[in-house]
Amino acid sequence: MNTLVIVLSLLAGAYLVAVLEAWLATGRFRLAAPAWAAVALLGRESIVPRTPDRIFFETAPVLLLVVALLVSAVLPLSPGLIIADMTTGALFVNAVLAYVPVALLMAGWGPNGGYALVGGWRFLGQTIAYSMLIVMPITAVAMRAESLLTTAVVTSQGAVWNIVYQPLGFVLFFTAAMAVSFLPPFDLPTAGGELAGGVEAEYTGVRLGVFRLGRMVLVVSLAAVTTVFYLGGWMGPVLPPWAWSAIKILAVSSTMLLTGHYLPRIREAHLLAWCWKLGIPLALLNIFIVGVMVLIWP
Amino acid sequence: MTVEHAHAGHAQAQAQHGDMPFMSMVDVTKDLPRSRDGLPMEWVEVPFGPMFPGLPGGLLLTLTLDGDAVAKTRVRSVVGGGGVLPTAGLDATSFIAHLGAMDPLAPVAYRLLACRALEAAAGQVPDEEIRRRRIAVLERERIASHLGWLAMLGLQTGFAWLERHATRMQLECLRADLPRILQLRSTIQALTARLVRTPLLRSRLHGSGIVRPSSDLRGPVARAAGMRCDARIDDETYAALAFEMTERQGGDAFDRLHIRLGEMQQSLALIQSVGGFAEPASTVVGSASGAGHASLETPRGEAQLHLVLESGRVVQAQLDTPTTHHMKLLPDLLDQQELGDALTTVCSLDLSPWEVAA
Amino acid sequence: MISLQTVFIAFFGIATIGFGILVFRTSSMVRSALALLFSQTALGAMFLAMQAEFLGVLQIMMMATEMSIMAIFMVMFMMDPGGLGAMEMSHQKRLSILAGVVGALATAGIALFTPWGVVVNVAPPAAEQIRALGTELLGRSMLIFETAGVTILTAMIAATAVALPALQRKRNA
Repeated sequence: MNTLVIVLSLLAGAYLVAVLEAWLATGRFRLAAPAWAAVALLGRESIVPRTPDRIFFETAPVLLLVVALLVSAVLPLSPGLIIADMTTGALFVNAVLAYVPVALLMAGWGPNGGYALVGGWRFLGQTIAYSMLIVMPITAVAMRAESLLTTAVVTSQGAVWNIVYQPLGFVLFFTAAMAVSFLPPFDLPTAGGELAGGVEAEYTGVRLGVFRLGRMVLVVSLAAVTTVFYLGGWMGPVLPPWAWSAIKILAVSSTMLLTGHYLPRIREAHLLAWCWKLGIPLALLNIFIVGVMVLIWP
Repeated sequence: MTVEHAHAGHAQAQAQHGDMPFMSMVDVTKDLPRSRDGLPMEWVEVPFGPMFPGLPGGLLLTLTLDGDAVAKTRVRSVVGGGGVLPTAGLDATSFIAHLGAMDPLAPVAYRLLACRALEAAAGQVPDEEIRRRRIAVLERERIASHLGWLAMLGLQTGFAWLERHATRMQLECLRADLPRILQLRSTIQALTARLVRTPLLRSRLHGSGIVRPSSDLRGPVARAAGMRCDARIDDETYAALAFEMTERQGGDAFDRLHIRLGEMQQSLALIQSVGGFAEPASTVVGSASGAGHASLETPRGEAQLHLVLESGRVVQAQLDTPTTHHMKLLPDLLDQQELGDALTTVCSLDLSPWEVAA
Repeated sequence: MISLQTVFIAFFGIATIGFGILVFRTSSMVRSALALLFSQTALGAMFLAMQAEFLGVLQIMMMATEMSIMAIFMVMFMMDPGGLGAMEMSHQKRLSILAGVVGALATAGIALFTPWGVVVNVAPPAAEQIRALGTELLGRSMLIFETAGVTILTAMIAATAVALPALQRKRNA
């Protein structure tokens, strides 16, 4: 039952994010836009490029979607509304996210095309840049909660949300989350003006539909992770818990989309340099600060 | 698009070494091309264009990629050569239309160039007011062209807001009459201020595609590299309007952005002091004969036209355009650049494949 | 009676072996690397099914990035990464078969002759395991882990430092 509710709300969230993305891209707000786009994709011929690595080509979009859904399995949307409250929940999020580059790598290698190939390997470089900025802020969050349980992370924010308690960690995690879901300005593997779609370039029809859906669900899942880890999860006055979760998740995913709209794409070399030279020291500093704060003001 | 990339195996190497007990990397890779970093890898040849988002339409760029660095560049225009004169020649009015239709990205500039060359051949001098008003039209086109370039830069660098905003402004500018275009002033100022402040834009463009002064540079590209290269500084009409050339020293993509942003405001000031437009659509040369030469600063740089007029018909015309020169720069400029940087460099040169000589 | 847990353990175990065989049955380097990855992932899932949560999650997490990076190194340094030349992936067959058989027998021996009942009875639940692991890492074993960590870091810095002059010479040449 929980599984059904969470998957459905995730899909609903992905739909709303897609509406928002279409609104940003075309300047017109149309609630039905993603539905029509999906119908169009379903009706279109799904072309397989010449001499592909067929297994990778077929698996990649599905793997991306599965990964995106699995992330949300350990996230509570309201007290009790969680698929699996694992004792290693916070670590599990990170473990599952490690398969996003695998999916993209397969999508890049599979179709035997230049744009896709460069895009796929590019994302592996991007992974090396962002992965520490996912795991280190999560460490600081778990330190405060004194648990890897995601429900314990939410309840630990009863007095003050983590966005206030560890703002540095929030900024790093939010940026890294955008990089995981390859949203602009971190859309290096799909880069419109550089690779003409990159890993998506050779996909058409249903397969492209699954790929896009997987990406949208990933955005919503990561927004949900941010909500649970930094924005107090389901907590909030007046409204019921699930409503607060929904509001926060939508707010975070819209902020992710909007940020990229007003920025040019980052250069791959700069991303790596900044993440390692600036991001990791800051993440370590964040762990240190939170460590001290946990001792004096839990 | 199909490319021979890493999947394409070394059937030959395999046949020679298939019976060896261990793989000998030295033997197997000895025929592969060497990258600059010494790692033998298979190179991938990827076409960019002629219809690639973020590159000018009609430009076919074939990059040989070594990993994601550019190892070789081939570039050609698939829509160039439109300015060639028919063997029978053309009468003056059709010649102006012919040259104007050559480059849809800068029709006014080439019509004006044709007018000026025809007038020079016929020994006519149009009156001062006409010349001033023609300049206003040319400057309006410069603003529109630079806005179009900004939109392309937005598309190329994934800067969605810039792409949409600049496209909208360009459409407005193309249709604008005098009062409307002067209203654009504050919008263009705001855009300039905003782009200078935008995070990541500077780091994206700074240090990309640095060019050193050379005889192949024209227009904003030359001026961004510190060359005093502008057909407008020798023009009396411009001098009367107190035109001053701007230049920068860096020569990279960011300097080119600054030059173009500055030029848009400068052009607006010129339009304001002229106070009216006159489209260069036709000129009366009668049945004059003679040779004429004109040069003019198009939005992309100085274009020159030599023509021979025989009793009112153009029988010979020789055109020199900025893009023809800039395309020659590309192979050296892109060498060993990361793919994204290389494409940003191409975009920052503002090429118009239409005006490339055949 | 076969419990659901046994079914899962068996399923992931078979998947582990299946993907493991695939590593050698393909001639594409990238496929081989990813087959190895999924073999290890299935192993991690098997740990999860065996209620060794931390170990399972760690296994699933670590392997993904490692194997992807291994794949890119294979593409960079090996010939024919796409496997169009139908390259044979196994070498020194007799030795490997021998090692495989000995390894399998040893594993089966341990599995059969260990008194598992005692271990199962003292094994703490998942939350307890993590707490115990954390205490261990920051207590008695701290020195070992810190030494290993610093050694690896030193090796990485040293490797980079050694590579830089060679790279410089190549650039200048």
